[in-house]
Amino acid sequence: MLHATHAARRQLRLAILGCGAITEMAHIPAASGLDEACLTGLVDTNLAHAQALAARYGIPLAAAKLDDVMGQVDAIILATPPHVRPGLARQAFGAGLHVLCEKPLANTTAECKIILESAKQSNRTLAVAHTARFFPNRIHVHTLLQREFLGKIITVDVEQGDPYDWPTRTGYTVRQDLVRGGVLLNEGIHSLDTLFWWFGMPLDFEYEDDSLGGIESNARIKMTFTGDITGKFRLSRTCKLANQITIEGDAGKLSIPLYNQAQIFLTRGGHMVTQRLASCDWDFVGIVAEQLRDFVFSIEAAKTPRVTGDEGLRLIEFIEKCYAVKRQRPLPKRAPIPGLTW
Amino acid sequence: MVSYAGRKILVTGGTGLIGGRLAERLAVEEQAKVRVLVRDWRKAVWISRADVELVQGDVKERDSVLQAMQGCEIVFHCAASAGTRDECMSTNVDGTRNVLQCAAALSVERVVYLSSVAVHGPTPPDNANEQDELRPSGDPYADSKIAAEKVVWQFWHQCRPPVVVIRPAPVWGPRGESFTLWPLRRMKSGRWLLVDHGRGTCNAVYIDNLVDALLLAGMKESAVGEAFLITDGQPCSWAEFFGHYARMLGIRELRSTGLLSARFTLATTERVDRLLYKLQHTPEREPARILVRAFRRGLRIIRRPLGRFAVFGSWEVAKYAHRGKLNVSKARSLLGYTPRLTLNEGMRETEVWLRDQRLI
Repeated sequence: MLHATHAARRQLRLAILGCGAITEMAHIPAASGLDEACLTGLVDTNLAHAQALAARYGIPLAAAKLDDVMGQVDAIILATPPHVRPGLARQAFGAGLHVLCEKPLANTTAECKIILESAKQSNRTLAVAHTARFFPNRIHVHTLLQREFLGKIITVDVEQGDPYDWPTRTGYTVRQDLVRGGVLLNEGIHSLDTLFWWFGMPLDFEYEDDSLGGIESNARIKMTFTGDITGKFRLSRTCKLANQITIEGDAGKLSIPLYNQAQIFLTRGGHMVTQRLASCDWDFVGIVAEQLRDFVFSIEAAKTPRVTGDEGLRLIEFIEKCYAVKRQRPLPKRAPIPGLTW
Repeated sequence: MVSYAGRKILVTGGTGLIGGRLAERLAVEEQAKVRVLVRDWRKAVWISRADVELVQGDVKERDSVLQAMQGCEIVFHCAASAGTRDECMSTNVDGTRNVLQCAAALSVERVVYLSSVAVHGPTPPDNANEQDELRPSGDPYADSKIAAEKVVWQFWHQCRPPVVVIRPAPVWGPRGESFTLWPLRRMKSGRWLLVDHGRGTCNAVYIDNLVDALLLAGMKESAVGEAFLITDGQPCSWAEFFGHYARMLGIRELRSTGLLSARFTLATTERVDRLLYKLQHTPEREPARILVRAFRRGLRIIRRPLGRFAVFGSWEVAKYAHRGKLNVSKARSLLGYTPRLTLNEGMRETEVWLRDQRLI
């Protein structure tokens, strides 16, 4: 576990920008329980909401603008909808703050580059909240893959899908005026990040989704990774899918549930083994807290955070390529059966 | 007929089955500029696939309707509730009044109101048409739709926004809940019964056939001031209709029951439920509490097996046992409505959707 030694130092003063569902469900409880940092402020354009949350959780500052907390914080968690992140990140870096940015880093590669450039110029830390990187079972699978535990990898198959139920206040995840993509950009990005972390960037891909000029709710990607590994990724926010990653090699097979941080199901030599990583009984808030510790540690030790801005950027670059492929296909004359990808 | 291309359209209920399919077809097939009123963002994942403008609001809030309707030429009012009596009345009646008031204030060219065949009660006469009486039945949804239609006609007689009323038969197809997903779920768990052995007449309408009718209703001059019943035009038996779902699930034969036993089970269940409801509120410290508890327990034991058979309420039993077709000749002649997809074609599309969404 990270870094008891840092608790004795002066606590890093944190503010959270954007008081939507993820802030209330994860960032506030995670930051409040941290020894390494002190949650000092909440910022939201809906000041009354920020004040209500601050009062409920005993947070000293509530403000409507980032300007209003400048000088009183050292770092921010940027949890606003993505379309306003580039401007806010640039402002924060300009004021010498460090930034942990919610995923997706931004809506477009151009916007991501604005954020990266601002971080570089200010020489401040930029980390991206791809929380799955902190799941113990995914870290363990990464190690198993590096050790070639499954032999030569042949296929990786990801299914991610649930009927959409995120309690968004602004609706930004379904509004194409605020976000450039749907299920791939908002939900699938976590699994894509995991795949790219384990297998590197795909050499080739095919993409289809169900958008009809709006943003997709169902998508399918076929990918080829180095080593002739075939990847299949199906995702949906209209229906329930298996919600697991399955990797098959010539010496065995493993699968992990997407929404469980500890379990791994391994099959090798015809025997199925279920591993539960005992030291990792965190809930989602625990994972977010670990991500925050990594962010604080990377600032204090001047090290690279576990998920860098460049990694956030490469995901958006890939997703943009997917959408560009789709845009080349003309809309059908008759609206297809809902949910079918094309 | 004038085209929808480039015209500004407001769809209420656009996150639901009918409004959602209508809005996406208006955008994709008709190149209309569609705005959809969204009450709950979580339900917008289907309609967000289309190139439409989503605005937050609720038909129960007049100001949000007024704002959403600004600049719109045609309004399709599809929002409705099938919840409690209060919800039905506030959404379906007050909401409709709000929509019409705003449409009048903004001089909207036309309002197409989505009513329901339920306004004619569960057992309309054979060959029933739009002239048949609206029959209150005690069902909150059906009664609220009657009250809402009265509001619509009141506005029409005051010569305010030109209105068209569409009364669809039970709607089925991809995303359909009451006549597709719900029966499928019950069949999967072995809790579906064909009332009267499925001999009643199924007057249903496939979602895309209904949307065809709505699109015609929004454009045809001859439609203004009229109500239209809409079905697939080819009545079949409920046994045939639900047999398609059974086949998709690999069920060889659906369980069925005679009308008398369905009525008996229903009546008994309803009485037991009423008694249980009363006894539920019996104070724990009442002197006769031991007897009351024992009686309640006994009733629950009886209720359990009855529940397996009493799938339906009295409305459904009456509807599924009813024989008689609905007459859609007015829609054919005035709207030019011709059902495009047959039962078999619609069922094929529905099966593709169900399999794609892992529902079967």
